[in-house]
Order: sequence, then C-alpha cells, then structure tokens
Amino acid sequence: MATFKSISSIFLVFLTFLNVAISLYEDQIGKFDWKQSYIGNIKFGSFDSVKRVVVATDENVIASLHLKNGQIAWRQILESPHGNQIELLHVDKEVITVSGGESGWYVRGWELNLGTILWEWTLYSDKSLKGYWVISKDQLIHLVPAVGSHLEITTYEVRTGRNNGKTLRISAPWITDLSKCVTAGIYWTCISGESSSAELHYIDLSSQLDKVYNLSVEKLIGNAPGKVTLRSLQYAEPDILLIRNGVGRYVRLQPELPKVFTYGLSPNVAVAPNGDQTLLIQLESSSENPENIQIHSVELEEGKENRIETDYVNKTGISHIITALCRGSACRVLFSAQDHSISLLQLPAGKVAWTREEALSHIVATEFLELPVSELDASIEHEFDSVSGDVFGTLYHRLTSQARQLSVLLTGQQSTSNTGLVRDEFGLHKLIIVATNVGKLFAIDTITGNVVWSRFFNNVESFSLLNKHGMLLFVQRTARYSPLIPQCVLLMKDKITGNGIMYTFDPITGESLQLERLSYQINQVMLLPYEDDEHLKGLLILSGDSQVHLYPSSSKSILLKHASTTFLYTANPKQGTLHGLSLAYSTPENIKAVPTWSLNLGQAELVAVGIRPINERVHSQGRVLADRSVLYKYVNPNLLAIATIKDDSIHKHVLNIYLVDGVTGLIVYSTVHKRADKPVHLVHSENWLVYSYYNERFRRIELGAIELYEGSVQSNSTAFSSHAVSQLPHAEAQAYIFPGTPLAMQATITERGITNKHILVGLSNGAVTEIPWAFLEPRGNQGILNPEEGYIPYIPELPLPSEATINYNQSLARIRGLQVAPARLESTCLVLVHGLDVYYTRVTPSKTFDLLKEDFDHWLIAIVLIGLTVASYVTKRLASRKALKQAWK
Amino acid sequence: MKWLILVNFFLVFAEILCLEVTNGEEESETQGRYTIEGKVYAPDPPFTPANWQSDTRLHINGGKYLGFVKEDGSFIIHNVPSGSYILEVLHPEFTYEPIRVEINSRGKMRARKLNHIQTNLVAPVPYPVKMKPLGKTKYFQIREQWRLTDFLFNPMVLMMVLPLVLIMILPKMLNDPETKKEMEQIGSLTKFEMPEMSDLVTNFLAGTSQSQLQTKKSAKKSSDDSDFSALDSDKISSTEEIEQMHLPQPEERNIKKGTFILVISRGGACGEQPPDAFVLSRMLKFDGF
Repeated sequence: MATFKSISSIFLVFLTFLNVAISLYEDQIGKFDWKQSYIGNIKFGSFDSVKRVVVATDENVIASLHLKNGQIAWRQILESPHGNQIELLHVDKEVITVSGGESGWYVRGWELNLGTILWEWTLYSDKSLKGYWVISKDQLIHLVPAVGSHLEITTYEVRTGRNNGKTLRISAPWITDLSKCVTAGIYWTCISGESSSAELHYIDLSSQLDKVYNLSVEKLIGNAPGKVTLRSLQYAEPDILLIRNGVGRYVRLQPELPKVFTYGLSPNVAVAPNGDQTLLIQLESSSENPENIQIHSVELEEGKENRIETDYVNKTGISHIITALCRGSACRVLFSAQDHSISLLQLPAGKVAWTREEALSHIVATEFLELPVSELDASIEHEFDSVSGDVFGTLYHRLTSQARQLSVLLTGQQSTSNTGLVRDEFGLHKLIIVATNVGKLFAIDTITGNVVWSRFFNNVESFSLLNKHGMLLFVQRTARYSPLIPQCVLLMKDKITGNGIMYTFDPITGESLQLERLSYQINQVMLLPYEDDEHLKGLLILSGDSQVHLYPSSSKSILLKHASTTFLYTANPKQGTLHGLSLAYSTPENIKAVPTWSLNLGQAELVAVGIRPINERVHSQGRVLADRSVLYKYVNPNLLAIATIKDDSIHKHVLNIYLVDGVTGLIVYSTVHKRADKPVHLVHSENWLVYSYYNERFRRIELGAIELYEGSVQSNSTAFSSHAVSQLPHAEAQAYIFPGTPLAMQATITERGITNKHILVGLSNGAVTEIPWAFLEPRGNQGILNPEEGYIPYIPELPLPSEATINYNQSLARIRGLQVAPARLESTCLVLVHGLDVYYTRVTPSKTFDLLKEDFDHWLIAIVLIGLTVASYVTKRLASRKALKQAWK
Repeated sequence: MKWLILVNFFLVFAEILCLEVTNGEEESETQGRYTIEGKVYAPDPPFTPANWQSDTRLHINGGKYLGFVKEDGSFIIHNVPSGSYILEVLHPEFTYEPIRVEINSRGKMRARKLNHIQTNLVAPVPYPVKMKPLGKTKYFQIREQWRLTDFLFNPMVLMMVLPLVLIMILPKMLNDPETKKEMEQIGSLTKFEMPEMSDLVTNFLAGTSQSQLQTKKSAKKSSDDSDFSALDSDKISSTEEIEQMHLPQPEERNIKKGTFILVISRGGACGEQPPDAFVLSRMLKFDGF
C-alpha cells in the first residue's frame, strides 16, 4: 500500500510537472497578446539619412526610428536611468554616445544601421561636477567647468579613449552660472553679468588654444532692457541663439567677431541643413487655437521666409523641435510635445506623418475596466427595471421595452458596432485605463492595443510610493449600471504646490466630469466599499494634517452608517512607522480619523507593503490533508504584509517580514532573514505571502513563502473579525532558490477563485514567467511525513522552464509593474506588463477548462458525423437489397 | 557537533573578515574597477540569425552592469568593482548558460559554473569566458498533428472498426466453399449437442400431454424410489414445474422477436420485408449452429 501511495504521488508530481510545461502554441502568437515598444522622452535626435532618425532619451536608451512610420529600427537600452543619463549623441558615420553619471562615463560607438556596438571605453570624473562633451573630428573633448575659477579640458581619442595625459586648465573667473553655458559646435560659450553689462565668452576647443574671446552682448544684439539667455542649436556649426524678451537672434561664433543675423526668431527654432543652404524652422502654436500650428521657415543667408499652416491633433502644445533635415524643398521636422509624444512633420506638405506616445514608457497607475453592454442587451436589462407590482403596468412596460428592443435590433446596432466598445460574452474585451508619469491619461483597448482616448494634464507629477512613482486610480462606478455612466477618479500631485489634484471622468468616453485642485496634500486615500443609491463608491482622502475629506459629500451618510467598522492605515517609510486609524469616533458634523494603533519598526527602512487584492475571492476554505481532515485557511481581509530592511553590523542587512492586522495592529506573524538585502517584492493573496530577496551570504535570489492556517477548526465560517482572536494562526514557511532576478511580481486573479493561483514574475532578462503556487506552497513537516494528493516534494531550486514564459520571445525591457484582472471566464486572467514596453496577454493557470480547446476539430467531427449518417443510409439500402436477394434464394 | 558549529562559526567569521578587507581596499583604491572580457558564440550557421549581435546583451547581476556584443562576438564589460557576479547572455531566441565570474580585490579573474545550491563548489571555466548557446529556446508547445495512425489506433475507432471487419469479412469467408464445409461440420457438431430451437418449440407445443403423462409416471417412480430421484436431478421432477416451464409461451415468442431484431440490427433489413415465416425459419437455423 505504501509503495502504491508513493508511486501515485510520484505520478501526480509528474502530472503537475507536465501541467506546468503546458504553454502557448506557436500559432497563438499575437492572437490575444500585443506588445508596444517605447523609448522614453527624447533628449537628443539626429537624422542619419533620409530614412531614419537616431534618438537618445531620458530613459537612457538610444534608438533608430524609421521616418516612414516611426517604428523602431533598433534600440539599445543602456544602464539604469537612475544616475545614468545620455549626455552626448553624435551621429556621423557611426553613432557616438556618452552616457553615465555617478559611476563613471561610458563612451560607446554604435553601428548606424544595425545598432551593434563598435567600441566602448569608460572614464571617471568627479561626480559632483557637471561636464560638457564636444566631438571635434576624431577627438572627444571633456570639459569640466568650476564655477568662478577655472575650466578643465581633457581631450581623448574618441575610439580608444587614449589621451595625451594632459589636462588643460584655463582660468575662467567669468563662469558664474552653468545654466548660462552651452556648447555650440566646437565652441563652448557662456554669458556672464546681467542685462546691460552682459558679456559673451567663448572658447574654440578644437585648436587647443587657450584663448578666450570676450565680447559684450550689447555689441552683438544692441542694447535693450531684459535678461539675455543662450540656447544651443545642437548643430555642427558653431551657432547659438541669443534670446532676449522672447526674441532670438541667430549668432554664428567665429574667432574675433561673431556674425549676427538680423532676423527675429522664436526661441523654439531648429536648424535644418539643406545642401549649401541653412534653413531655420520655427513652429508656433497659439494658445487660443492649439490644434493649429504654424510653420515658419527662414533661409539663413537670403532671408526668404515661408509660412505654412497645418492641423495638429495633439492639443498639449509643442515642447520643442528636436531636429530637422531638408533635402531641396522637402523637409522633415521631428518635434516633441509637452506630453512627451514625438511627431514627424513633413514639409512642404505640412502633414504630421506619425506620432509616438512616449508617455506610455513610464506607466504609474493602471486599472482594468469592464465595458458597458450593447444597446440591445441594455434594453433587455431595462425590462426588469420597473419595481411596480401592477400587472398592467408591467405588461405595458414589457410591450414597450420589447418594441424598443426591436427598434434597436433593426436600427441601433450600427451605432454600437461603430465604437466597438461593447462587452463580450467572456469579458475578455476590456478597457485599460493607464496614468503615466508625465501626467497623461490613456484608455487602451485590450483587443487591439489602440489608444481609445487620452488626456494630458499640465504641471502634475506622480506620488512617490516606496521609491516608486505612482498615481492613484480608482473605479467608483463600473459600467454595470447601464443608464448611469461609469466613473473613475485619478489622484495626482500638483508639481508646483505639492497639493493633490482630483480628476473624475467617464472612463469609456474619456469625458471629463470634474477636475478639482485640492487645497491640501494627500496622505492616504481609500475607496469606500459601500455604494450609495446611485451605485457610486465614495472616496475618502486623508490629508497631510490628518483631516478626512469625502468625495462626493453625499457619501457621508453611508460612511457614518459604517463608521464603526471602517479603518485606515498609513505608513511612513522614512520613520519606519505604521499607524492605524479608526473612523468610529466620527459625528455627522465632523468625520475624523482617530489613531488607534501604531507600530514602530525600529531603525529600519520600509521597502514593501503588500495587501490582498480587494476583488479577490477565496473559493476553498481549507486544505484537505492526507487523512481526509481539513486544515482551514486563515483568510484575513485586513492583513498587511510589510517588509523592512535594517542595516546590521554583523549581518550587513537584515530583512524583516511582518504580517500585521490592519484593524487592530496585531502582528500575526513575523520572520527574519539575516544577510538579506533589496530588492524585495511582495505578493500577498488568499492566506499566503510570497516575497523575494537577495541572499547576501550565498549571493542568490531567494523566494520565501508563508502560509497561514487556522487549524482543524474554523473559528467563524460566515464572517471574519479581526477583534475575535482566540489564537494566532499556525504558519508554515519555506524558502526557495530563484534562478533569476525578479523586477515585479503579481499573483493571478480569477472571477471566482476556483482556478489555481500562479505567480507571475517579471524578470530582468525580459521574460515574464509563471510559477504555480503549488510549487511554492510550504507543506511543513506534515506534508513530508504524510504526503497528500498532488504533493510536490521540496525542490530547493525552482525550475524556470522557458515554456512558462508568457511573453515568449517578446522580451520586455525594464519591467516596472504587472497588473492583473479577472475575465468573466473563470479560467482566464488578463495581464498587463508595463515598463519601457507595454505588453498585454491572458493566462490560464488551470488551462482553459471552461472553453472548447482551440484545436478542437469542428471540421473533423462534422465530416465524421455526416459520413456516418450517409454510410448508414447506404448500408441500409445495400443490406436490405442483399437480404431480399438471399431471402428469395 | 559542537566542533562543527565552532568551525562553522569560524568560517563565517573569516568570511566577514575577508569582506571587510575587500571593502577597505575598495575604498583605498578609487579606481578599483575592472573589466570582464569574453566572447559570445552565435548559434551554428544554419540557425544563425542575421543580426544576432545587436539583439544580444550581457547582464551582470540582473542588469547592474551591461555588456554589448561586437560584430566578432567579443564583449567587454567595463567598470565592475571586485566581487562575485552572475553573468548572463540574453537573446530572445537562444539560451545560454549563465556563469559566475569572480574578481578578487587584486583584480584577478576567475570564472566558474553557476551552482546555486552548492555555492562553495568550484567548477572552473576558462577565462576570458566563452559563452556558447545551449540551443534554441523552446517557448512553444507543439500542437498535436493529425496523423492517420493516431486515428486508426484510437480505441474508439478500434471498437468500431473491428466489429465491422468481423461482420463484413466473416460472411465473405463463408462464401468460400471449403470454409463453408468446415462451418457446416462445426454446425453439425453443435446440432448434436443442442436440438434445433424450432423442433424444441414445436415439440413443446405439440406434445404437452405426452410429456405430462411421462413425467407423472416418473413422479410415481420417484415416490417409490427416492434415491433415484435424487440422482436424476436434471430430469424434471414434478408436474408443477413442467407446467411452469410450459406456461410462458408468449415469452418464447418474445425471444424469437428478440432474435429477429438482432438480425435487423446486424443485416439492416427493414425496407422490403420478406414473408415473416421465412425470416423466422432462417433465423432459427442460424441460431441452431
């Protein structure tokens, strides 16, 4: 018997392994997934030919874009943008970049067409000083100014990094403000002094002559009141723009006396080389009519002016022209807008060829939204709206609604199919509402990946949540309540005042409902779990000074009804404290949050907080053990999972994991990992917690799993109360080696929680892999001594099969977050992975048990059925004939 | 055990000391940055992607330091301080085995196989490292293809086809005169053992009274000699029982009907029905052997 049991368990293990190996089929590529690649906000750009443009972005990425459609020809992702930035992009026969910062500078040469590296070298400089980089012929000149004293110039051979060992020091007491210094061609130039006495200083870096030219600005552009600023034109010729009172003058630097052109230019001007000619292109958009842009071009030498007007759909206003190129009369202008979108303008047609929404390269909040039902379905639903019990009334209602359905069926179907935003049977078609770091809000269709609508907010920024950027996005009313429009709310931070901004909108159409600039800073926000008469969930905001604000104010009465059971928590990562607040002491006049508990985590840094998804359902109440008894899960909806890292003299870093009850502040479980360091990622779901950390002792990433059980008796099967604690839950814990570097983790979620749970892990190598929870589930001693069905023996190193990669060969760069949402199909979970790229797919942790298989052969079955019917008729006829013949024999 | 713990403790202590020493040296030497060199090999020619160099990246400790592959496959990762690192080659289509590269405080390099479980086990790999692809990464499951053999050996198909074969081919075999003879022989054999059903029935129907009398006689006999009656257990012992045997006449007709239905299902004859008696007699004959 025992052997049989072991054999069966092995067999089950084998089965589960097989189960994991189930992945995508090759013909499913792109069937329900899409990927969009982004590069970030563009800092530098340069046309390499008539076909492509090379750009460098603030995400520390260089890329080559096709001019035809704006798609990425190649993209190279450099070091992390935190502390590393591209400072120089030079496009010639090869692409030269200088990037880096804190840990030194990387000088790299790239092949123009394919993006392969040609050469690379590094150099170190003092971190605190801002440097300037200039390329002149085959020399890379590094210039480090010291304000008020001198200038250090070092020249390197650009391909090898060889220098003559000398650093030239030039005395430069005139450097007062580095924001007034720019590079222009091979010159480095500064403005010193105020308006009237302002002087222009410039140095020719190519000749290595330590000669500084000084000139008064007055001499160049005349005397007028107003501050003079400098702008580099990022152009090979040593040209600058001197701007005073919003009017720019084009100045070509030369030894001795610079050449000044007399045109008054807008500060937003780009130089487009056109053979011998040089064209100056300016884009102007009036504030009254932002959809219209004027292109104003001036020929530098001859002064021929040309104006073209064009329509530009993006209303956010042009930020600046990145680069421009002309061939004859045809010009290409690459410009970026305030919302980080980049567009290519074709001249002389004046047409915007394409636009890339680079705001999506940094998503800070996501929410999946169910679409409204079609008009026909909605009219059917209306049929049951009436509450009157009158027989004739209901009959009348029924007849009218059916007449309406008929009319909708005959006429109205077109209007819904036009927009296409209609709920499907399986709930797979949804809308993803996405808020980006720059302050642009998007609605993306899950089926196509297209942007349905977008809206940009000026001067907003995201909150910083545990070293991450984040905005707060809530669904106040879903699309379920048909005549009422769905409603979402987005909370942002004002860039100038730091106060909160609340934007309420209809997520389906993008229609703005309310934009409110709050007069306080936001400390904590909670979406109330109670709906009012109009099915709207109220929003509770705790301001910086611990005042409670409610939106809309009509939700006050509902909150007061439930005030005694409403609790809040706040976390202060800097001080390492957690506070619990209760609304029980609120009065109708004054809703207040009174602190009920506080938890001091010591001198530790709070690195991660995990809560259970609000919409998660736990289907099974317990686990059936081998002896057929049930071990009941400890499912506490108020549980917070907290991870802290503390510096330690002996163990370097110590990781603490706490499970805290958010209502009472009771620490339900805590554990310590010595010599464990960041990055820490937490996933808290059902009655378990999975976290990842770096084990400093063995230099590997490990995953820890904790599972909580009430025991063999369930304390209260109908309702959970945090106050009714008779005994602490029984915890089981286990750790595993993880052969990869996680960047984000999330557990799958399904409609009813029947489907198995998988943990989705976004890895540094660009893969998003799924690990079944059964692999991580800690079984403890009991499991080993008395294995239950489906028991997987402990394997220290988790397998990461390539088949478990949900994004197959579509590697995703710099994954920041994973968002999951249930479909209406129980087996299916929708996944959005965001980072530099955006990827959407769906996963089925227990396979599609509620759908016919995709490769289900309808044709074969139909043919076999028809064939059998035909065959039976034919044989019947034959048999009867034969029987008759034999009968007459 | 105590000793072990002590040794363990000592080891840990020594390790800490070592680490502190390295930290100290890092601080003293500002330029304590080293380069890791090596070469990445492309997959073998027929599978070499056109532009694999630009799609290949090297990550150290999950992307803390980066390396890019030159056209000849070589790479240099700059700016790495001393320590122990995991070097990975990333390519969307091909898998490479990660290795561990260690740089000691004096800048000496060592490469070894990555072993997460036995971290102290050193399996050296030559440095500068040579990264060779393990193979094409398998992301997809292969869809089952429709094959004739699969279809034929399907149990359902087998269940359907075998009886069909038996029905279709056996009658054909009967047409062969030799086998027919054989079959007849077998049939005659069976005839011996079991009288024809029709005869039995007619006998029963016709000769009820005779047999009743006989049995009555035997009953009398049995009353005389009880020992014999016990021995003749296969013979019907009492009139009541015989009557019971004979009473269910309609049942027997039912049986005939049942066999008839069987014939229909086998032969499929229901269109033009020959005279009823014909079928019955033929059928009963069939039953006979």
